[in-house]
Amino acid sequence: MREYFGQIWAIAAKDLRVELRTRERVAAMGAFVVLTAILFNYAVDRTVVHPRELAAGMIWIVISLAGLLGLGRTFELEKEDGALDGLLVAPVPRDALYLGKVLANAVLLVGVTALTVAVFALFFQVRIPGNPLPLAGVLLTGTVGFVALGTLFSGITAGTRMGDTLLPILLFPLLVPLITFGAAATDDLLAGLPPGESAYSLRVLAAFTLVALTAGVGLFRFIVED
Amino acid sequence: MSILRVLLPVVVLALVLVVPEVLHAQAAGAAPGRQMRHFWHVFIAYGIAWALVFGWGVAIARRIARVEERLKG
Amino acid sequence: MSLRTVRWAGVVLGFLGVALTILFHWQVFFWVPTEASMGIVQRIFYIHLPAAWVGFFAFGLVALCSAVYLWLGEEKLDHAARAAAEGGMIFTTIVLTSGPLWARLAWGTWWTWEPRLTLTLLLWFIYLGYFLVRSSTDNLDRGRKFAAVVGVVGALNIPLIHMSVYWFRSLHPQPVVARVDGPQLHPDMATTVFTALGAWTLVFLSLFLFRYAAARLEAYADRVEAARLDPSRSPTPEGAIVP
Repeated sequence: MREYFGQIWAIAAKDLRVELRTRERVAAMGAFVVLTAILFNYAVDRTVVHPRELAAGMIWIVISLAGLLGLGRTFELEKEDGALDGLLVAPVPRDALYLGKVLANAVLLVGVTALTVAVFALFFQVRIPGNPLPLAGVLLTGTVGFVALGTLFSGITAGTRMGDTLLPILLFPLLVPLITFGAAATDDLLAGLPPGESAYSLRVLAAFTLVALTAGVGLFRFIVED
Repeated sequence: MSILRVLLPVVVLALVLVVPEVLHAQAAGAAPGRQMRHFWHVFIAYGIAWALVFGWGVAIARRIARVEERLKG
Repeated sequence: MSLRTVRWAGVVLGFLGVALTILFHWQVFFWVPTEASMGIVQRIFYIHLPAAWVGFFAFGLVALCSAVYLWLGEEKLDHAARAAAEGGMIFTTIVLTSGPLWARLAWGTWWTWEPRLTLTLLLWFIYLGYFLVRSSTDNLDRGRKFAAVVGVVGALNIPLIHMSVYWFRSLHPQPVVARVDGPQLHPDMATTVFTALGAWTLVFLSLFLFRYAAARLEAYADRVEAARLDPSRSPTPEGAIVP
């Protein structure tokens, strides 16, 4: 068991180290979030709609799109110089490889999520509730679910001719539960409702994340086999 | 396969000829403009359904014909 | 199952399906009473509901065949999954075209975010992804595995998507056929919709079997042609589909 977690961590640490040195994906996703927020400012007539009313939904849409941008690159780097083949001959079970990738992507995307919330709070005076823990829980659960599904599918699209362009077509129809309940819970929490109101949404998000992780662990080996 | 290919157009043709009469007979009494609209919507919906199912059948028949040609050649 | 059996099953089911299709069209256009509040346009219901049922049934078949394909690796199961997915795409398209045509006159709007209609639209896109993954993969075997994974993950998510779309209020008439206390429809309407349900299930199963047989024959033809180039590999024989 210890060894298994060690393997997961080794894979994740490798990806994070690459990211730390190049800072490609972080820069792309971070700039994307800030620029989208700026465009959003000009897209909405602030005299008619207060940005607060749209913030929860916008936060989730921005996270999904920024996540899509980063996830598409998960396996791109591995394709160069046959790095994936090297990874596959390593004595690591396929599901540990998947979980390692999910962990690295989750770390990145959680950072992007925090940035998104901060940008909305700063630009649009969205008030973060006094106790931010429930909100953090909702965002964290949702982000991990998104990454779990997205990592599996980006493994698929990396093997197709269409590449990243295929990712939203595969991913978005399945994100409906995530957006529905994530945005609902975020909206309630930003409006200052007691956290108990969002318990149901959080449970559904947790179920989504569990299903996505289970599917990924079970099915990932079929998409990397040659 | 050939059965389907013969039967379906016959059914389609028969219904196309007969449906307007019947619907008009059954809808006597209501406002005529609104009824025509209803009739068109029903007709288009059924037309699309027939075309899709029939088209799928034809595509499969062609596929089989093509593969048999390959196996003969 | 040998291909000969598949073919005969397809022919028999096809005959029954066409017969029932003729019967339900007669019922729809000559026999069943016109619904009082919605009028003639309600007759779309008799293709809308059976098409939705077949579309979801087909997706169940796709998921089942895909899962067992991944487990056992039998090529036949992938042919079956693909055949079912083609049919599912056809029938969900029927749902998505007949629904708005009905809604426009019954509720005055082309599209409503009605849960079951939305679910069908999402299902349609999952099917689309299933085919795009397959067609954009150069390695045939990998394409099959990719598609199977998409099919299984899609099916696993359907219950959650179902919950989500019901989160929103519904404009759609509440279920009128599948109710605990029996169908609430006029008995003649119930008879008609059940005939239609049977008819299209049979038509789907028949075409599904023919499509499956076609895929098996194509795979066989590929093996025959490979054997012509390399005589050391002789293909296992498959029965011809037409005597």
